[in-house]
Amino acid sequence: MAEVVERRERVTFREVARRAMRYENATLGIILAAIMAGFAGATGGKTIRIDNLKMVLVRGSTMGIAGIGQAFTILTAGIDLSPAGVAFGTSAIGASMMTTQMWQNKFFSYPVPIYVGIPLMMLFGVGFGAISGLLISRIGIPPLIATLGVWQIAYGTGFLVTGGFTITRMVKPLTFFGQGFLFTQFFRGFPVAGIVWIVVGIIVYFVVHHTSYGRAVFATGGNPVMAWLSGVNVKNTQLSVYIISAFLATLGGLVRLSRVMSLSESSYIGLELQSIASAVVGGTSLAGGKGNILGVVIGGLIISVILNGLTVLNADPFTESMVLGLLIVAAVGIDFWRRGGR
Amino acid sequence: MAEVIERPKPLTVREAARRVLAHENAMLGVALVALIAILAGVSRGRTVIPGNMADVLLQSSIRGVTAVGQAFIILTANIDLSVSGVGALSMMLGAAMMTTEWKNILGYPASPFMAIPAMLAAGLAWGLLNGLLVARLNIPSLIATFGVWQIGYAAAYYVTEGKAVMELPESFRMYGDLPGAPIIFFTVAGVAYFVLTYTGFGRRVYAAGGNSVSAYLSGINVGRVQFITFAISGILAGLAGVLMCSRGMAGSIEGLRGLELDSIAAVAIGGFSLFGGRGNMIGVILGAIIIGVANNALSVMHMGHGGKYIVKGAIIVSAVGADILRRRRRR
Repeated sequence: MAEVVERRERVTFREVARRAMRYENATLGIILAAIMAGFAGATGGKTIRIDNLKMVLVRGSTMGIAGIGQAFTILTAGIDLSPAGVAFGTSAIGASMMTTQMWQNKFFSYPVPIYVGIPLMMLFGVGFGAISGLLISRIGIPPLIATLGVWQIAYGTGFLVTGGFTITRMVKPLTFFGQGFLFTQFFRGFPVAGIVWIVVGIIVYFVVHHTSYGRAVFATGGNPVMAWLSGVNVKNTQLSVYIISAFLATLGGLVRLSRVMSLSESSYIGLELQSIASAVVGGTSLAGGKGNILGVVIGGLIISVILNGLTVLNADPFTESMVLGLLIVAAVGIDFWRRGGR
Repeated sequence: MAEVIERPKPLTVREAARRVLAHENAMLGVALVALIAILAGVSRGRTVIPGNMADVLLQSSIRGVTAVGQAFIILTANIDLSVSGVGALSMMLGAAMMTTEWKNILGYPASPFMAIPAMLAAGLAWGLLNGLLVARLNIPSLIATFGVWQIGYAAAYYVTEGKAVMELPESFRMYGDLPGAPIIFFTVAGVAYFVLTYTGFGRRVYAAGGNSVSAYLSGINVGRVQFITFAISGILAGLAGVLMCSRGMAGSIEGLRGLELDSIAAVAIGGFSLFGGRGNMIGVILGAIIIGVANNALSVMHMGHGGKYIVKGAIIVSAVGADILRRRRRR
């Protein structure tokens, strides 16, 4: 809070770049490059072809976007276990509105266009986030339990909507977010999913590191009592981070829905683990109050490069989850070791 | 300790009833009875026929065994998310030892007397790994056990490359069947109750969870207590693997999915504080049965997966929320 006294420097581009490339992020970047080089070597260069790199961005975007939301909750020393449930619940609502298979369309007698369906989906995401946020900030239920409960509630809602069936044949324009390409004159186009991920990253970067709201988030995670004494509305900050996390989980779910164009109950299994992994590998401390968003984006890239590399190497899904588990434990272990124990 | 001085009152029915109702789990018991009554009414008696009640008891036993382990962990203000992964590994390992099929990893079918200790040992080993990560390396239990859960599932997958194992020896059936499973559950819960209430170790568990700094200052090795609780939870997850394997007479990886949530829910409903140091085993037994009753009733009434998830989520949140609100009012 000492910064208040200092005169505010003008935020130049150079200054932003300097802050962004802090020491930890440079290390993460080097790790990312090393992993990419390793997989490229192991697969004879298959993983670093342009098409495959686009695939890494597209496939990783769901986890990456949800991970950015997760970083908010972890920065306030909380955790959100609900992304998989929320993504499934909201995607089920969205998909069942936008499908052209009328027997699956529960809410309308015609397939709803995306500019109605997607905002409604997002609204439900915000609703689920508000439930966990209110349970945590107003009643004081530990985040772990509250989001576990909301995970179940959202997942169950999804089941009720889909009736356990796979939903397919959504309206065509929905493919834009997951399969679309922009700027096709360069490298045969950039995937929209990757662009969404990066844009979300940039916006959140500025919100977290350059606004008073971001300060409030850090302060709440660092020491809630101090934050309250210095005039931060701790309860509303907590409420807002769970709303943001659920919103971004919904957005990530939308990207995946749009890429695969079908929705089944197993679509989002493991999303909560992956989102926590990308936040933690990106240097966000589980004790709260420490972390940065660029690191989270790089963390997401690291994980999606690893998962993609394992897929190219024909590893079975359980190896992937094993590697992910080891990665999380290692990242958290390093974080604790660096801070010298509890 | 003050009661020692008082002269014991003669134990009349009235006095006994008063004492039972004054017990901290009384409301939970009342809630259980009310839940059973309401569900019986709603389902027009289908939930209370003997066959179904037996089913509830079996289900609750498997869940309850892990909930007992989870209770130890939660008393020290930690959490164990790895139980279903560890249980799955134990189940696949044991099933793969006992089968007569080609998947047998020993080369000859082992008897249950060999397989069950191996399954418990597998659970113990993973519990020790959890303990190592949490108590020695200081990794938060949430993350450490989340990672171990993943690794456990992966290991379970490698045992048979994901295929289910059938054709287990008939002598293995009794453990997960009607008299077996509830007897094992109540024995485990009884021993746990005794350990927590009447031994020095139990007291150290409560102390380590209630206030780890003052526990440390009064000479308790908090790390070791945590380590042991994770070992206990690991063994009991292995035991859940035994029960589930025996109940289905098959080993399948997905058989125990969701067990960690159910066990946490049972403990939370049982009146344990997630911040550690508060709760008792009778609550866990009641909590496990409540979850079992609710789960079963939802199946009997054909609520489908959706309703099941929603109701379970709502039960967990409202149980913990009610507990927190009640304590806040008292303060």
